[in-house]
Amino acid sequence: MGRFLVRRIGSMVSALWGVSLIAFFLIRVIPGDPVEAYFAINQLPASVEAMNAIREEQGFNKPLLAQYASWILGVLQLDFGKSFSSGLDVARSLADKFQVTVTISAAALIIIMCISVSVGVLSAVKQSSLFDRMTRTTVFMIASMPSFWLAFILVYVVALKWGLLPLLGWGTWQHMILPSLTLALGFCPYYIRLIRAGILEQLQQPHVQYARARGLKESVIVRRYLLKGTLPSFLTSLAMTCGGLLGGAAIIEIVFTIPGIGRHILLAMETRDYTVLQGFILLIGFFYTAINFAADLFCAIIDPRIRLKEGVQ
Amino acid sequence: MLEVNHLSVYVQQGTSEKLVVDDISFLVPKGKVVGIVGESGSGKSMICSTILQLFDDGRRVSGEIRFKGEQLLTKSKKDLRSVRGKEIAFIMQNPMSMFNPMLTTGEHFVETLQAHSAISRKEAKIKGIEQLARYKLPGDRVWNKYPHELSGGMLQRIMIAIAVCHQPSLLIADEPTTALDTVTQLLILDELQAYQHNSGASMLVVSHDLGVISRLADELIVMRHGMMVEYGPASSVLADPRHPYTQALLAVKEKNRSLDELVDSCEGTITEPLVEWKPGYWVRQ
Repeated sequence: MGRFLVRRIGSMVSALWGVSLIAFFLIRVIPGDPVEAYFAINQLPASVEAMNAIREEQGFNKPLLAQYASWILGVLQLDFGKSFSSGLDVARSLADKFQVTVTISAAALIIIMCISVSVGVLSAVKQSSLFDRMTRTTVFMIASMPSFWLAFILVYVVALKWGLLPLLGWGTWQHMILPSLTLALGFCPYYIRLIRAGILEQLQQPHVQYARARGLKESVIVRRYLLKGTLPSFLTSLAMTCGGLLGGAAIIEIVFTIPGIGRHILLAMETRDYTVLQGFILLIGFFYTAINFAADLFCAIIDPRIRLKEGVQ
Repeated sequence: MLEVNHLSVYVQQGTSEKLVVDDISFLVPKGKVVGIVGESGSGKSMICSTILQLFDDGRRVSGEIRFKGEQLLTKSKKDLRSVRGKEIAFIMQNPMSMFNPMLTTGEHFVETLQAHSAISRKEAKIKGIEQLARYKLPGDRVWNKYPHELSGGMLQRIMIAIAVCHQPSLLIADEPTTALDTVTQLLILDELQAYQHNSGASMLVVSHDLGVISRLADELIVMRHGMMVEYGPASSVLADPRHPYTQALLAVKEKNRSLDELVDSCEGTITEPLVEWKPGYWVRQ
């Protein structure tokens, strides 16, 4: 197990280093100058001397590699620098806003798992039943709707018409339901189909027939044979889309006017706030690799064949 | 014990149905071993999986199967479950793919024991290891092993140990030795025979290998294209086979020639009726 962990953590670190390179240099390739943007947004008189003075102060005139080195050294000490436009500490403000986004994403993740596992299993076990056919139609319908549109419909019906939940904003747990539900619903169709197909494939396995021949209860077969066999591929692909989930959350936040990372980053894009953007990309990269690492670890724990392949004993 | 009457099985193929088991009737008396022999595709495994209804939709069955006087084919799923593994146990071919790759030997044992009796995991473990020891398996070492860590012969013996843990009155063995090497085959056959002798259970053995069947069976059924071509006491069938197909099968065993060249001589659709040639001995002349 030790070697497996070391290898995985090693590849995680090198992936993050690559992300940091891309984050740093790609942002600087995008046209637009942060100092000019700063002067324009604050409606300051844009004299060349004043702008140069700020470039000097922020270190924008130093060679790129030197700028990268000083940034990455800071990052290694968990100092992500200060925002150029607001002067706030990047780590703190990102953590603040990211908390909201992660909460929505995590809630959405739980909803995705509950809905897709239960619906997927039921429609596979009761294949071609009325329930199966109805879910297939519903799933198609939801899958073909853009998520922001679904958000508007949900807001209109649940919050405006019925008045069951708060309309917009953030604060209580009730505020969380609609955004995470909207976010989750967009992903559910894919996972329902994935689980359904996985279970149907498991049903064809000879060891399921042997389990039946031994007279195991159907509930035991579903849990220990069908679901357990489908779980690794489900979790792996769930972990792969968690990046999409965070990105989706950023859009949902704007629809629901939630003070999350989405709006924060849009603002940083407009002002070309390099330190904030870099920190954000690195943070997303970290979450993505960490979640994938966790999924791999979990799969190795439940499936001995993966442990065998990875050389973990 | 087990009584199969006019059993026919149709398998759906596209829009049409194919007859794979054609009007089969036989009896497995108490304490006796009945062997079914035939080449692959002759429908012999179909009979096994139909007895316990271990198949998906797309199979149609007519006729009746009685076990201890009770109709099996009309039983509800719940009632059927209480028979499976407890009254009728199954030993399947290809043990390597029959065990759940994500569960250990022990977990297979525990779940089987718990399926039919209220027994704690601890008690199940004691019983399981005891049972494994009876089949000359190092219980403590095998208990926590996953299927891919064990050999085919070991898995087959574990399967037998699991099959007999509820003391079933009927054991169905579908190609129990096909995936194994010759030495292991003999060991497995000995073990099956020993269990059958000691417990007085009945057994239905299916194989394409006449050698396997002739070691175990009291009565023999020879199948071809879903039909019974010969059915009678094993000793008579083996000593003096009436049907050319049975003769060909025996010749394969004795002269070490391939079945195809021997069977070609008696190829053609089977049209003759099955008649009782001697009391308890049916054959298509």
